[in-house]
Amino acid sequence: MRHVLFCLVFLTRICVVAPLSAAIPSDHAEKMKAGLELFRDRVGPILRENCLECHGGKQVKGDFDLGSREKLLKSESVDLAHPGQSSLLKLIRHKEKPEMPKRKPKLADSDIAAIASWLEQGAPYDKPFVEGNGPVVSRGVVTDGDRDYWAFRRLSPLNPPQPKDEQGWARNDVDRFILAKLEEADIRPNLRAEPLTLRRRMSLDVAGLPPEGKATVPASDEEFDALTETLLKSPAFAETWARRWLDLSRYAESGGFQDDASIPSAWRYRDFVVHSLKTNQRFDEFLRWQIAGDRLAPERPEASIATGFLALGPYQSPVTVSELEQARYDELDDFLQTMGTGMLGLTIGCARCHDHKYDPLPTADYYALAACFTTTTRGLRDVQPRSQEDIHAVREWTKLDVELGDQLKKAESKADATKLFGASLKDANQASAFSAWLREVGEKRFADICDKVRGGLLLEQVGAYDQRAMQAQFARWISPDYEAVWQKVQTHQKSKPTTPPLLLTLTEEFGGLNQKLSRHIQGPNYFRINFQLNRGDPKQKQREATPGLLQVLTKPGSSAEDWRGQTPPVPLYPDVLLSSEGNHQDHFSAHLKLPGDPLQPDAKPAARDFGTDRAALALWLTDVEKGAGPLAARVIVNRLWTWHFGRGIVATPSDFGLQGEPPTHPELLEWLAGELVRSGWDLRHIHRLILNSATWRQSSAWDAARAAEDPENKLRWRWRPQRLTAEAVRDTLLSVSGRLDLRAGGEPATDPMHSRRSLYTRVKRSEPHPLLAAFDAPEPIESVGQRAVSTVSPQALLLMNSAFMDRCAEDLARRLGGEKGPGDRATLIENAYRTVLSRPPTATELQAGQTFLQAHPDGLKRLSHVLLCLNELVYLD
Amino acid sequence: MNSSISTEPLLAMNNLNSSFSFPFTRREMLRRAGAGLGFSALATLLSESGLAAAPTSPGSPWSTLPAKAKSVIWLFMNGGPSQVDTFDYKPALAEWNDKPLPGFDINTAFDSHKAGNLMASPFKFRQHGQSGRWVSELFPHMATQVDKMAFIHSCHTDSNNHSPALYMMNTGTPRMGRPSFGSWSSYGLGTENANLPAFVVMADPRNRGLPRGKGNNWGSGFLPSRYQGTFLQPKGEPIANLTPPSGSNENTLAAQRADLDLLAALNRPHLEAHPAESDLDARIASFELAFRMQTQAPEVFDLAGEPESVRKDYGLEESHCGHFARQCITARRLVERGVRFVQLYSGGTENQQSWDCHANLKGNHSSFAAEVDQPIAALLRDLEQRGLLESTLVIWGGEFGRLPTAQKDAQPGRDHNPHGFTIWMAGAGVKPGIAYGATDELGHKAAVDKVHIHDLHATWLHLLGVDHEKLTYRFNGRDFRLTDVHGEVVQAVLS
Repeated sequence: MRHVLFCLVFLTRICVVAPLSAAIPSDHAEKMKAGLELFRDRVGPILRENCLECHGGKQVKGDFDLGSREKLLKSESVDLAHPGQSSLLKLIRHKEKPEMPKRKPKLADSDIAAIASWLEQGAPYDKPFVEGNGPVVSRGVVTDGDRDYWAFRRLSPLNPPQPKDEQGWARNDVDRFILAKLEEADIRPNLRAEPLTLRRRMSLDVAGLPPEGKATVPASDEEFDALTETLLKSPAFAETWARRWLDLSRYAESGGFQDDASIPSAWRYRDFVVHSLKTNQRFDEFLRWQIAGDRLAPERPEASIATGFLALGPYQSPVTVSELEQARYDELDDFLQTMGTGMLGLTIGCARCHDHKYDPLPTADYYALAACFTTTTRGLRDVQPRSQEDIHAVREWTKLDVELGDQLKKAESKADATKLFGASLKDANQASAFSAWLREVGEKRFADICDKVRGGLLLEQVGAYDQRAMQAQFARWISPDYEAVWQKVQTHQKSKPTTPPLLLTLTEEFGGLNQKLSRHIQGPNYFRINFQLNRGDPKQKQREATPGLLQVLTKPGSSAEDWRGQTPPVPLYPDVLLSSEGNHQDHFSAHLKLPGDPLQPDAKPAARDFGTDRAALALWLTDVEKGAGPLAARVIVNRLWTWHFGRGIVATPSDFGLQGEPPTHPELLEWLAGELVRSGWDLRHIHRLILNSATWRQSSAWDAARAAEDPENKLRWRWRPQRLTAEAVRDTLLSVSGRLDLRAGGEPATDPMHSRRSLYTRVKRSEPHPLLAAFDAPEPIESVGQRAVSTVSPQALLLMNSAFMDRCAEDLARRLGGEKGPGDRATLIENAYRTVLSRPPTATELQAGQTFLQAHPDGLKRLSHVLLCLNELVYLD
Repeated sequence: MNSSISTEPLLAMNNLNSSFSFPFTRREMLRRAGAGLGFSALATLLSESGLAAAPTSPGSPWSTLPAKAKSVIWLFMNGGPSQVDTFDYKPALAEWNDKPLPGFDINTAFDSHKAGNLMASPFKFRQHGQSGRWVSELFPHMATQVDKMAFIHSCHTDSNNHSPALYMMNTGTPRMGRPSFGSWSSYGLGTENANLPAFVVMADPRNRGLPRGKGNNWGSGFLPSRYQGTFLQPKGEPIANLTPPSGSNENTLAAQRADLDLLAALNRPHLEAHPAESDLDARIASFELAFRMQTQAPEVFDLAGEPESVRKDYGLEESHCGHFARQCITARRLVERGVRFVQLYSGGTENQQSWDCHANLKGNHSSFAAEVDQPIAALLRDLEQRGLLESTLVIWGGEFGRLPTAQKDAQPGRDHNPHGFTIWMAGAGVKPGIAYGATDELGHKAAVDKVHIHDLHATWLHLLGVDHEKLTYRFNGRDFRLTDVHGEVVQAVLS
């Protein structure tokens, strides 16, 4: 019996599709028959009347579907092995919440009893309430049918159509796909935009900056082709398009949450993306590195830096013991969501709590994918290869550093703060202003602080203080021996061997080598075993999750082993790792940890711990033959299209699933994805195809007849004007007012008024930049594939009144020369329009400007300000 | 009310002051917005650029229930006030003083190494009002208002850590970056005064800093940024960029008017050349609105016209509570002018600078209670006298409660407690003078009629006329709700 019961449990748990057949208790048939009658006569009507509306009829709430027996058993609200303990019964008995049925009176006791005995009898149905699959499809197993959805198929080769094209409109194959559909609908596309308009469009779209007003204007198509080439090879192109990738990677330079601690050298990831685009790195390699560059190309520092894609997400700090596990599963979820939506256009996160409601993404696949990251955490790492001499020097220096640290501690232990300050500091109420202040000065010598205290400055500065907090802080600074040791430490610090900057990357955990990013953490960074969870709840572990890949994107017959076998051999552990305590780091207690170092016990991890599963995942991601490569290619070409046109071929660029928008031009999308792969994943090839197309170069001219046919411009009969991105707005303002500083790369600019390109603005999660945020720069919390575009009055207030705009107006006025003589006004306005809008003014504009300057002889700054607020400035026509 | 302000016809339909567009299809937008009242009219105005609109009140498609509350004032006692020392009277605590707390999981405490034994409240409790609610001596003024309040003593939350608990209370999840309750409200219901922000936040004016987790507590997450809380600077200009940098020159406004006229004139030909781009129109209107805002908004923050009786009642001139009184009066003025949602934080960032009394419970709670007690009591009276209380939901509470045990210290405090705490509500649609739910005998965990944060959110949305299961927004392929898949309206506290 025990055995039979086990089998039954086993079956009800995992048998999602296969019917109950083998290993069934002998009285099963009899029970089922009795149950069937009970269902027909009593239970069925009760369920239909009270439950079905929310649970399998029109909708499925709480993941509980009683539309059919199969679904009921799958819901986990029913446990046929222990029917009496089914949570369904607890809910309808009001023993547990939510009490069911919701917002209705409790069921009669006799009804509840009937349901209970029906469960005892195996919960048979005479027929399902809902025929067919109903709203929720069982997705435990992914079928070939699932793989046949357009986004999940292998790439299919196809040739561009041959439209009639009587006007000779098409310039390349992109146009032939577009025109074929337009001809079908009998809609004529627009001709090329005016050269001045097109030049501005091209410059802002590709390089994120307006063209110099005085530069030559291309006239022919070929001259524009040449401009395409020049722009695509400019550093400004890489900077502008890197920012788009940073939206997808929810890039920021601080950790978020309470501490929002700065992440050292986060900007190196940003510079990696810029560099990759500048050098036109193969896009498949670019993707792979961001998941497992540390493992796939350990000799290349930039490959490790690339893992910042996942590593730079928000992390909770401080984190308490009771939150630790949840925080870890949240971290893994952040990895999966960012990779899933950003690279694959799949809402994988939905499968964390239940099988994806629409896409063939079973929960099991989610946890298999998560398990590829089981031993992966985020660590501050030295990614440079080092010589043996360097390592030796660092080791010797570190030994002495530790010794000095101990001496310092000893000195601190003799501290007696009360003796020094007891008399001058009395009242004890408000501790924290003082603590904060003390942290700020913490780097200074204690003598300076003592002097200030003695001089009474401190009291004035901080007001009241808390004796307890103060003593703790001051113990570190005050003792007779302290000063001498401190001097030694200072000298020693100066002799520190130069170490490369530490970078936050993905890294593998073993032996607890990696430091903890979060403060107050009282446990591990990770757990050696990852579980599949019920409803995403770490308290409801179902079974150990083994690493695996998404079935729907994997060719039948292939498995994770195929890609595991392709991973390069496990590298030697990187020579130097550095440990610190995150934002509570003591500058003299950072210990370099080396394998075999007396400071650090040897760690001999298993090969699996070295990220082999993660590397396999990365290889699978871009494998066109057997893995997710086709989808990755479709998603990126659609993103490029989206960013160039404002609207994608698939209008939901981060959701290629069944709930996403279907492609308006499926063949074009397929062909572009194929072109990407055929070109060796050359993004510039796709940019060129788009920018040199007649489709992209159309004018924005609108007419009612064609708009009536295709109001949303799905067929692309015109260019649709777009609001500039926040960065382009700001960069344009700086550029035309002559203050733009084009220095590339490196540390971010912290002053909001800075004049570098907006890409280099510091991204602190708790302090968004006011102008960029106002113009819809996304919050760097989750991957964003398409920004909202809002037009709100705070933007206008900012443009009218902010110090930044005041400065821009002033700079522009100065740049325009400030001529006031009446004879010069026309020239001045001519210059102003060429500078601000890269075109000459119209006669009306010339007149209006002159009239204004006549009325306000000192009004050049004001006129400049007005021009900077023009609609035309912020719209790409 | 500045209802006399005229707006462009398109904008009037369109939540007055702005437009928000996603380059999405009509189908997508219909799905987003739901087919509600006035929507089809709007849909005819949709150009290919996809001008979607925040629904306006009262025609909001999200507003499917009868709304009791038009506005919310949320008095957030930042740091987590102690339930057993304020409103949740536990006489057994005195008997059990200095005994271990049975069944205590030491990891509930943030500073578990300092977790001590049970500690009696240092404050005396007394029953008040006709309803006979228990209030400690911390709140002599609020005690006079208990007959307006509905207490929920059985609140519980998911985290014992400030920023996750603050995010939970404000956004319905302990993770960073989801839309806040105020953002959901303004997204769902729009604003009633286009010249003021729909959602306003005030934090500590005494230089003690922002609540932990900072602006994400009133952020709009994946909702468009227009729905985020407008943070009033505690000092100087309350709203950023409300006055030109050149300052108080009398001519400035006149000059700016002339500049905006020129701007409008220069924008016109471009607008005419792009008849299908409604965003361009909206942008021109946004400058006009901004101009009106800067002439009218400062009036809201100028309390000079408040009569002596009001100033006195709130304690505006008192040094211990004047700062909070100013904010409470401002909150009332905002609600009076149609602002949807006002959130007001008591206390700053660091432990003892807020209600986060890890040490010196007595000193900490005495001083913070003194800051808020009189102004809050006055606010309730004032709202009632002006007839605003029946349309304003007032909420009082923190992000979690405190343990009934001591946190060891020279002057003991209490550590965090996510398992049980008290909030109260008053005003629109709230059953006055009642208490719902209870913690266990020692005030440790919610025990009777437990109420989770999701349930609070569901209840508050219900009072605003919104079904929490229907208010959704699609982001990255998923329809998000404030209450995720949870939440149960607490019917017992509704009138």
